[in-house]
Amino acid sequence: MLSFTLNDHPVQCKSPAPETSALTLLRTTLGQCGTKEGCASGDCGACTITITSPEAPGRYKSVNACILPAHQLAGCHVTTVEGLAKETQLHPVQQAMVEHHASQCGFCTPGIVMSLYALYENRQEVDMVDDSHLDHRIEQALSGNLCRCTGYRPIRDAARAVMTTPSGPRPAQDKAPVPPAVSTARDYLLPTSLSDLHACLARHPDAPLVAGGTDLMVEANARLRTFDTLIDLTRLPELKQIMPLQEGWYIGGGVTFEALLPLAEKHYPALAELLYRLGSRQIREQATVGGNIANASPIGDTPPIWLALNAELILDGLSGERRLPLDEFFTGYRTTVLGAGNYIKALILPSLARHQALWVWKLSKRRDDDISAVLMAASATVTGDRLDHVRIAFGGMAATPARAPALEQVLEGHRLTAARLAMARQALAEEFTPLDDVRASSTYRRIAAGNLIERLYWHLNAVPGHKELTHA
Amino acid sequence: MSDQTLGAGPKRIDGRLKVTGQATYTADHQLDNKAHAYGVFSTISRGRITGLALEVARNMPGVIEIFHHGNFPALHHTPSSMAGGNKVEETRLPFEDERIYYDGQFVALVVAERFDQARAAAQAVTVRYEEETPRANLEQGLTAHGTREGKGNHSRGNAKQAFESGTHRMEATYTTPVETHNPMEMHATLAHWPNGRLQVFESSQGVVQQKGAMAKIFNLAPHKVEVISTFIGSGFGSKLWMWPHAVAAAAASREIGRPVELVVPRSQMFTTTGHRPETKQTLKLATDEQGRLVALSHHSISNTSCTDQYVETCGSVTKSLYSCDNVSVDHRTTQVNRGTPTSMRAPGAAPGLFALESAVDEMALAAGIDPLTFRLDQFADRDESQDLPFSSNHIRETAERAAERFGWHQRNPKIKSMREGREIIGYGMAACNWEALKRPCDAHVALRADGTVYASCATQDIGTGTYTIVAQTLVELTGVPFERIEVELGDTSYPKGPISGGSWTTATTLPAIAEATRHAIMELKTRAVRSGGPFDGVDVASLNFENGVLSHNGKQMSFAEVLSSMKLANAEGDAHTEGADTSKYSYRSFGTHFVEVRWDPLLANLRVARVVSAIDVGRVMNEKTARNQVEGAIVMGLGMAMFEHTEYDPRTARVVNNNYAEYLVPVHADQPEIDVILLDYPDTAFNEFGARGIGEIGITGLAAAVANAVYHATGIRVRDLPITKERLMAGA
Repeated sequence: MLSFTLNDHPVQCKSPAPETSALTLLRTTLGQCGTKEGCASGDCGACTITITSPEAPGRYKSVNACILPAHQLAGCHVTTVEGLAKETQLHPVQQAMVEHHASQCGFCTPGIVMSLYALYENRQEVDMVDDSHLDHRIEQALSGNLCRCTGYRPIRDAARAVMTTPSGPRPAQDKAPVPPAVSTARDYLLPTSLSDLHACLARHPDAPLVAGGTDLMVEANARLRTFDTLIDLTRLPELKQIMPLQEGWYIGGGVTFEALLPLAEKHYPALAELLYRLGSRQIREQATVGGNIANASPIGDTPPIWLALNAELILDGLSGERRLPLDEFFTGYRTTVLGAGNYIKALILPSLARHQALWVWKLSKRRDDDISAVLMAASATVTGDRLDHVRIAFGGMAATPARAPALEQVLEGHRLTAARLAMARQALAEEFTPLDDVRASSTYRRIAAGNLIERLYWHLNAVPGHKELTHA
Repeated sequence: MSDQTLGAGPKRIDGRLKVTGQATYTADHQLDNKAHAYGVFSTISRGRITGLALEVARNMPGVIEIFHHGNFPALHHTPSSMAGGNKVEETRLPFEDERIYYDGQFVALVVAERFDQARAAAQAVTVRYEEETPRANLEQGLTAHGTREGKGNHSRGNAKQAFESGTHRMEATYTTPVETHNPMEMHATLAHWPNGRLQVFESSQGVVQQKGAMAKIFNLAPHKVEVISTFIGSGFGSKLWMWPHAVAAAAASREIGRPVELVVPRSQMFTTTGHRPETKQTLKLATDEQGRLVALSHHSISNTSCTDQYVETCGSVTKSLYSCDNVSVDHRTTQVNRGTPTSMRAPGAAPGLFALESAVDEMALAAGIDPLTFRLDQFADRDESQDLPFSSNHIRETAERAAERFGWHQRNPKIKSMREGREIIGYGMAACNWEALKRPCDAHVALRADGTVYASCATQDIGTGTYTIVAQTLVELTGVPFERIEVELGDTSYPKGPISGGSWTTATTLPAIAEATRHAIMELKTRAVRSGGPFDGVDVASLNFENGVLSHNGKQMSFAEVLSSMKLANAEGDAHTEGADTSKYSYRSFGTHFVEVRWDPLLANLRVARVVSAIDVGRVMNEKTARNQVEGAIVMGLGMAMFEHTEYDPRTARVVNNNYAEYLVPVHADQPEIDVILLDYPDTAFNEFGARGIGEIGITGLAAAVANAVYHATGIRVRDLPITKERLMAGA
């Protein structure tokens, strides 16, 4: 049995297969076809819905239903495009979309409406101090919605209009009581405490673990993978904690990137800039810190940053709790030391020391909603012009996210002068043989990585009047 | 003119349905007892099937039937004639034999109770192949097969000789990659056979053509087929002609005696539903001493499939855009192992103008003339290829107004000369051009006793706003307000309408709607003056109809009252209008793009910051929908310029980036500042509304304008699309 609330109505349905997506459940089982499928891989946003989870009842998360495991709806308040208008009264977002001709063929429209609905309903979060800030929030809200017809301008106009026009009070959403988050499925396990989780792991040591599901569900949809049993990590409060520590921050493995953002904005601005461009809003609402590390993709956006900051991991599970530097975690292409029946409990992220800087630069073909070709994260203390404690890591340059020790050594204890830059480029060229794939050629990656070092050079030797770009 | 009539731009009639999720697309239809189909797609690109292992799949839960070349019912080929109303692009039927011609070809079709069951069983089918070496790209095709004659060639004067004797010359080869339409809605078919008739819900840009093709393929009388496409998640050309999945679904439905739904997965939107083919284009231009064009030669080769001939007519615009006595335009094809190509937004012109307008830029620079001046001096005043005047041509005004708005005259022509911070700014421009076409069309209009006006036509609204402008036309001609208009489109049970393509829907459909409306009004008057009617005995010619009211000598009655008084349900009008007379004029639309790019050499980071375009499409029927079309086309043009590229493995001819994660299209953040100027000069020689259509012109020339701006910023002449960071870095 799977129960949740859909557009204010309680829903109870038979437990679907573990890899069933929320989209399939909505469209096929429940016959709610307003939500569209455009890609089944979380890239286009046509299937965007909002969910409000029991632990944060006032917050609307916009997510891609196509890569959301249906079981994760358990106990949530789910809103789809069919649920916004009250009788004949359109929601202000819908009204603005009509007014501004923001719909052409209309197929992406339900998803765009829902992304803007989340932005609108969470608007107390949006600090509208100035226009550029609002534009930024709109851009973020729409970063995961493709439209092939309009060229986007009318959509942005609609968003601006609805976010800047004060609207009268709307009839309060009469929220039906949300049924308890119980899932009785035997093949999709939703433990709610660590002891539960450990019991699940002991019973099913080889079962894949699901956090955001943003990778695993693509496997199910695109490669038609099926699973006997899945163990879900999203209902474990312990994994969602963010706590200050003496040496930095304890970040639970199940913290989503969207949940990490406030901390990043405050303490690690370069990380925040990267998070704005990680996947899309919908992906960031689902994808987790632990998931991005555990899947060990060579082009995962965050591992190089954690490497540069000398982060550590707390692992737990059948092998017991242990702590190890991230440096020792990756063993090869998509392999790690984690082992079956274990999970990433937390990331221990050191605070930035006095004079310590962090630079994160991501190169991708397209600015948003794209995978890195090359990502460089560099950290060092800067005293005068001298660089110390240099740690530089790259994504996209090797089979795993990887540090560049030879490069670090060239820079360690030195000023980054033009001569040193040449040495650094040389060291980097010898250090890596990057991948050659559809995202970028090996040559491009090698040259581009070198240019990122040069960018650091220009950054440190800034010429007055040269505007620093905030994005690549 | 009120806000609700033509030109002013009322809101879209279907906006509400779309923002509430109530607009019903093909896969949203619910039919009782519906079964779901999922394809097994070829994983080789050339060879034959030697065996299919079906046992495992057959025994999986919910599986009803598995179709393949061994058990698929025998069907017929359609003659594939557009005039005959039965055109398809790929004439081979699905499962016709064991041959494999391309990656992603249907090799089996699993039908099951549920979608997930069909998909799981499809995965469990194993296919054995005997593989042959495929031709994976244009170069491999040329080596293996050489070329074939295309169509649409043209020659005047002696381009070869004039080129040899020219003062300034340029010769270069340009290439454009395969692009995939990737409309947001995937192709889908829902077919069933109520009472021996075939009814098909399809995401289609051409229901009439699909009906004709289905009738031929299934050997049915035409009236026994109905094709319905009420809402379409766009198509950009890929849904003009029916593809094999539709035949597969219809046949499966007939065999199992249940409705069958088949949605083409995104990955196979890259293989079996058409693509814009790869092109290789050689341009040779020469001028005299003063910089006058004396020779213009545009020879192109594009890929076709191994089953059908599709020609990308890259030189179609080259024939008539510039004034030149010696012109040679030639199109050839070569066969590769890909599905059959098809029209994609502005076929021919989009890749063709990338090459032509890049070459013209190169020619202008070689002759030492400003690219704008060069073009202004040489735009043709009449269509020299047909020796006909243009019906209406304001291309110079588009160039001058857009240049002014853009600030072209502040441009420092020197390469890399304009900087802001670390960014180098480049300015580029290009002309855009598209033919204006008008086809035969039928329409039906009824003035109804309840005071509403109804129109129907079997054309489609693919998102461009056809529902809205048909309604506007009715408002204008009857005076009945927008809220009391009902428009039905996208069903072959309505009068025959055109395919939604070629930018001709507006020009074709509105005259038929208008004519039908006039017939309905005449019918109303004729009834009203008959014996017993409210205007009994009045001369029809002296009866006035305005704002929905009939009047004569001070007596006034609304048409609703007139009809009610006679117990009539309605007064109807049907009309048939003909295509444009092409013997007196050449009908084309014109425009000019100006583009600013910003280039950060350190990061090889390129972005388009600003686009100013002026467009001359005759009368602008609805300012909002028209602007939408141009802006959308410009952004798609940016995709063409910078991102879009369907990549094939050169060893296997299989598509590598068959998803939205790796086939990149522009996102919100890529949207530049766009300023569109719509000229709005009615072209009354073309049709009574003076409108030529606007869906395609915006994408033409845009990629060249970007390439020209990139050259200005970087000194690198990119002749191969897309303009990637790699290409710029390699050339730097």
